Amino acid sequence: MTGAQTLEYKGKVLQFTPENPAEADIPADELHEHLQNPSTERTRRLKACCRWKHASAGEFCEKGVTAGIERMRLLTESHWDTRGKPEPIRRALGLKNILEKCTLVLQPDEFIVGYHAEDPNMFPLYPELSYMAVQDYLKSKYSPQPAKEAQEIVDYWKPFSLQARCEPYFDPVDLRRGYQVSTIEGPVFASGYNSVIPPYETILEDGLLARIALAEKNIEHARAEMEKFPWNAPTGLEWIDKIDNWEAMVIACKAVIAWARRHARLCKIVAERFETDPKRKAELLEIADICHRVPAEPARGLKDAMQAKWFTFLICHAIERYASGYAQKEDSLLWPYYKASVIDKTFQPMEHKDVVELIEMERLKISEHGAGKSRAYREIFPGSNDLFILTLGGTNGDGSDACTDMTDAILEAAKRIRTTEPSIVFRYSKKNRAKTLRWVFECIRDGLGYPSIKNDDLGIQQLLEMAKYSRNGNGVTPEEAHYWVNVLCMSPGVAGRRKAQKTRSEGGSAIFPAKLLEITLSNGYDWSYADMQMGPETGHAKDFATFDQLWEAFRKQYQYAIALAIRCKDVSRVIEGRYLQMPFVSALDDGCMELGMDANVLSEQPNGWHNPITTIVAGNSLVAIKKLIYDEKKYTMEQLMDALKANWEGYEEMRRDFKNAPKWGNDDDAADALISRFYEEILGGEMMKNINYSGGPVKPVGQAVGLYMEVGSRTGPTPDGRFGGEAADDGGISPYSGTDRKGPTAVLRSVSKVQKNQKANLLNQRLSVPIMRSKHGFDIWHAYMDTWHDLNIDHVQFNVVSTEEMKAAQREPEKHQDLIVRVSGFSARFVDIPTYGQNTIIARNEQDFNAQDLEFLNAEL
Amino acid sequence: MSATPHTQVHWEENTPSPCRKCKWQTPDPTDPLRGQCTVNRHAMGGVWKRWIRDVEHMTCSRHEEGELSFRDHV
Amino acid sequence: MTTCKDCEFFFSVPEDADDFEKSKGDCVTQKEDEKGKYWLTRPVFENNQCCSTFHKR
Repeated sequence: MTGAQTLEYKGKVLQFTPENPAEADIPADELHEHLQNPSTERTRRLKACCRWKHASAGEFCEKGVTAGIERMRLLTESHWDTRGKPEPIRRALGLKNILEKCTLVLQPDEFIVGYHAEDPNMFPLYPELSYMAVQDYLKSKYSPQPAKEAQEIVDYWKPFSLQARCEPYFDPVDLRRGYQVSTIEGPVFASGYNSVIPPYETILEDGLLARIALAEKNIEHARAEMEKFPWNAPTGLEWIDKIDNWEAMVIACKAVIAWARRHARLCKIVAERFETDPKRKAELLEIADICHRVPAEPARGLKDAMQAKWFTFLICHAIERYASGYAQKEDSLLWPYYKASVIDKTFQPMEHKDVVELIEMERLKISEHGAGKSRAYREIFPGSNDLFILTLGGTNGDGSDACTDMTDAILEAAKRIRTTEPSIVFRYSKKNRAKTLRWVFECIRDGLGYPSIKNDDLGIQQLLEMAKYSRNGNGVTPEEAHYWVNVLCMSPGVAGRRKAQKTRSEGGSAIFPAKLLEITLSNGYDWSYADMQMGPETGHAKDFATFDQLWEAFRKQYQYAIALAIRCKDVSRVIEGRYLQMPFVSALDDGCMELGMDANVLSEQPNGWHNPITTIVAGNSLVAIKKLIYDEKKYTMEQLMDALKANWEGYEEMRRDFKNAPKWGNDDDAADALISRFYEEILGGEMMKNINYSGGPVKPVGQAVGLYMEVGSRTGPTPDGRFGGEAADDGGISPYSGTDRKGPTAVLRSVSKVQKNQKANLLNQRLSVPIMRSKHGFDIWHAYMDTWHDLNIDHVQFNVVSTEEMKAAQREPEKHQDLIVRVSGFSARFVDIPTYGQNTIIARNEQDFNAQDLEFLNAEL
Repeated sequence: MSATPHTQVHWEENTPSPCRKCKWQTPDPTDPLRGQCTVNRHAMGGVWKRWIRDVEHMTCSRHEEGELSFRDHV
Repeated sequence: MTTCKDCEFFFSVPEDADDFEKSKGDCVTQKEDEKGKYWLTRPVFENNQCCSTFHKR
């Protein structure tokens, strides 16, 4: 019905003409170019000169983006100078050296200030993490200069790097398999990829001076305890590490205050000595005042809060250590300052529209934020910078609706300024107010691909369930469990002053069932990409007399790969705790402050997870094999293997049979039963037998990001009818693109059958532009969402974009700079995605809503 | 693999046409000494990569010097 | 030898600053590229040899 304008439903004839009549005059193939509406001329200007840092296929899309050398240089200088000191203090002094000596950046028009490299076209590197990742940069056109010095730095750090320190604990064969990124994502220590949930609440509420005072008081107490008579070594010696950690916190916090105040000085100098525009001069002096006060002191108004939060982000995500993400419950975090500035007008008085402008500026700061990630991560989020995802909505600790006017301001800003980042997660609850849901819908309808929607109740429940595994009995309370955010794109984690996830070693990284199935058919051998043994020898498929034998062989491959993957994370965790302390992050965490522990070491709320990606290629393949080989015996396994080795050439009829076997997402009981069992028994059941550092089971988070393209390209032909090198399925639980043929509610019914042993599963759906932009769009979407919620489904995210517009953008990319699409877990500028990836989005089924669908949704139209 | 050896990446010590210089090569996601060959492209759009163990000492008969835009990679 | 102290872009760090050191200053310069102008600051010392952006005070 996507092309039609009418539908008969419950005795009425529904018209699907645009809700905004003016849109009837806009050509369908350029709609997105007409949707931007920045709230002020300032944000329009800022967007026009935004220094985008999108990456794709390992390359940066914009010219002139390059790695900087300053962070590497200053960290190395300090590391050399601090030999012999305790490791936490070395880390703090390293941060201090960087913040004291680094170049600061101030751009025209901006209100939120601060950048993490010596030039706004640059990004920093992290030689202390992965030596391979940094060496790759030095061989590329993005190498920091001077190249000779950069090489000396990399050579210096190699033995001290996280990667070099972790590698000895693994068999080189296992490492080589992990480095492929075909059966599992590369070990965190080999890429340096990371995530963190900074305790923004602490810095906004307390300010750093208060944290310094706390740490100093703790040190004083510790020393007094150590000096007591009689001396008791078992307890007395425990103070040593704590004192080191507290000292490190003090050094780090003082360094951050001084660095923030350097920004104040810069703004003041430019205002008083160079700026000629009186309005901008006054504004620079205001910024100077803010940067002098925060984050040293608590935030008092919304401008304070935004600046303190931004400084904290830069340190936690880019200067102290690299971390992807922008995890925060932004509406709740900023609500007290919205109240102070907009409602009570007691400090930094402003109107709601000024808040929208501030958030637009924040979005543009994020869009300029270059990430010095390894090549793998420059491949797997094509068309975007990095995974910057904030969370909104949901419910408060007392169960009430958490949506406020701050929520609406963030959503309105996103709709107006149209950037790919930060992406937004909305925690959907039946208690959410209609006004905010309307904003959520309008962002989705405008094709932003976000908010991505998470089930609020499920997030709360899983945090409470994991709390019981807490190593120190201090897991989240029921109230704290309501304060959850997505750590990156899919997995909930608690946020706030304490207990939040501080390292990706806790949860994250991926495993690839499609590739595992491929090697299962060949005795664990990867014939299609690496030409090497990739897993245990579990037999050749032609010798599996029953489907159960194949199932069990896959189980063994999966067990090997998942245990290796989780072991990589936990070994990294231990080494991070020894050598990669985060004294600034630790200073903000109330648990670390109380206990004198580093943030990598302390674990109070387990949050272990791992991401199966490319599951549906494997699932659909198992369904086809069972049907055509073991049940109907139409083909033998030997015939299938011959066809796969030939990439189906000469086997067209056979390929059609395998391609036309029942597919996931069509509410087909037989296919869904087998695939649900696959999810629950193997992907979840086997994964959960592994216990991580924090003492809890590791649970599956079905995902994709752009890995469905990368791993697809490293996976040979598969029994679902796929050719070698074709993309895999684009979401954790999404039907394979184009194979969901029974409509959107059939997809929901299939997905709702997977319930057990899961943490999360990503569902991509593409909705019709004419339907969503009609006057019935919101009501249909709302009915869909309520049904989704009641079916106990974890997640859904939407593309609302026409094929004709995407194809027009392929022909003339320069005319479609504002076309944004949802890839999977993140949104991207369509024209910055390689053609291969663009075609996977075009191939996604655009869902029609027929009368039966609307009946199932109980839509009142 | 079913293709004849020389059209796919293979070892050739000190080859004058190493994969590193080939436009179809893109670096390995993890290890800068290795690479990924993207020359095998299906009419339906699939890019079936092959792992290159050593970008200095491997080659194939479809070697072409140069660089592809990111748009043509995966 | 011309030093940073003589440069228009050198600004002594105030004594009450958290990062004060004797004879330390901020070197504040402007750069421009196709996206626009921007300001940079980095710490230098009075007796550092001047650089190519030197402009007599």
